[in-house]
Amino acid sequence: MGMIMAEPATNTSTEASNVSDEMSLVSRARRGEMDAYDELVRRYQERIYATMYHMTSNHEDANDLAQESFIKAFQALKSFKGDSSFYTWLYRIAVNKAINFIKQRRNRVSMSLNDLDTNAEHDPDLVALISHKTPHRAATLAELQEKLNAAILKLSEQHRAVVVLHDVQGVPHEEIADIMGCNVGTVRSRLFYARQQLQGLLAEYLDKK
Amino acid sequence: MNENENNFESLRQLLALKKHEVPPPGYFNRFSHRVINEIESGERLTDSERFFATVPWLFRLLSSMQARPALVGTAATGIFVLMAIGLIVADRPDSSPEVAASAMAPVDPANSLSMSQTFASSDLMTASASSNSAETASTGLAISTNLSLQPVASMFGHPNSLVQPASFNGN
Repeated sequence: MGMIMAEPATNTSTEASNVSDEMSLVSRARRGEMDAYDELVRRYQERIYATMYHMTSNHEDANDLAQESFIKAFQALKSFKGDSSFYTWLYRIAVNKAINFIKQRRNRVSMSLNDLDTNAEHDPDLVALISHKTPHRAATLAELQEKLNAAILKLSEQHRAVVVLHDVQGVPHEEIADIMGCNVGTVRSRLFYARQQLQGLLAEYLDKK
Repeated sequence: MNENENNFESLRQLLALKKHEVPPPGYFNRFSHRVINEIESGERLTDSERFFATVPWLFRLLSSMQARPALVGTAATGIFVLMAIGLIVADRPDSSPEVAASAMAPVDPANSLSMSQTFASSDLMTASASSNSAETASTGLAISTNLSLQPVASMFGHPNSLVQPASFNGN
């Protein structure tokens, strides 16, 4: 019992420490201390890049958008009031940048997909999907990757953002609402609609129960 | 909601594939360095971006044009067609400079007589230029229908030696 009680307490204190550490880094970066901002970039670079990549399905675009997001965040650091976490605020900048980018490039979509890591072959979800459930049993992971990305690119920018943030990156509904400046109900309905669309587009690769 | 979640179970399994997409090895090693470098050097803000920052409406206009290539293409084709029609009309024989000039002439009645005389003289000068081209070549005096390029009879109070009195009477 003691162990059970101790764990959340440790987590809470770690979280609080992280938040205060983050605020300290933000304050220092605001004063122009670049090593502090470098630390903030290192903390969030993978998540921001991944969001940009999943929304564009293009490594080069994701690289540019992620860099621009961090640069814009630095330039706007003075306007950061601390109402939300730095991470949510940064995400908001990045997602808005990606949405504007997709709107402008709607008719000029080109995929430049990243490689799959070696763990993909052993992912239980994917193993099950390929070897047992998919009617196209010969479909390789690379083919599935291409079809999946093509289907995601067919979603509108708002639906794409919601499905990427929630279903790919595991961001909770409430935080997505905060990032996208809408209410939780809107996030849920967008997510439902996006999933329905994806299911329709990828029907032949999904298990029909 | 649980029922919905169950309906999308196999989609969730497929979306798990996205988590395994990774950038080239070592990509993140220098990412923050690149960001900091760009912030410090300010290279990100090019001259054109600085210009667009002062006129955001122009940036929005260009952005909207980028998003609608078909519309921009149609507009460009329209402009091209108009220019082509303009060139064809300008090259037609009945669109001589005199016609254009008379079309542009002011309708002030006080000046109408002197202007018509001027253009009549201009017509005679044109005819004379074509019939007496050999003569003009020998004298070195070029007659032009362009009134603005006529030699000036006197310059700074001194007579211009290049100007010779012209007679249209055939004498």
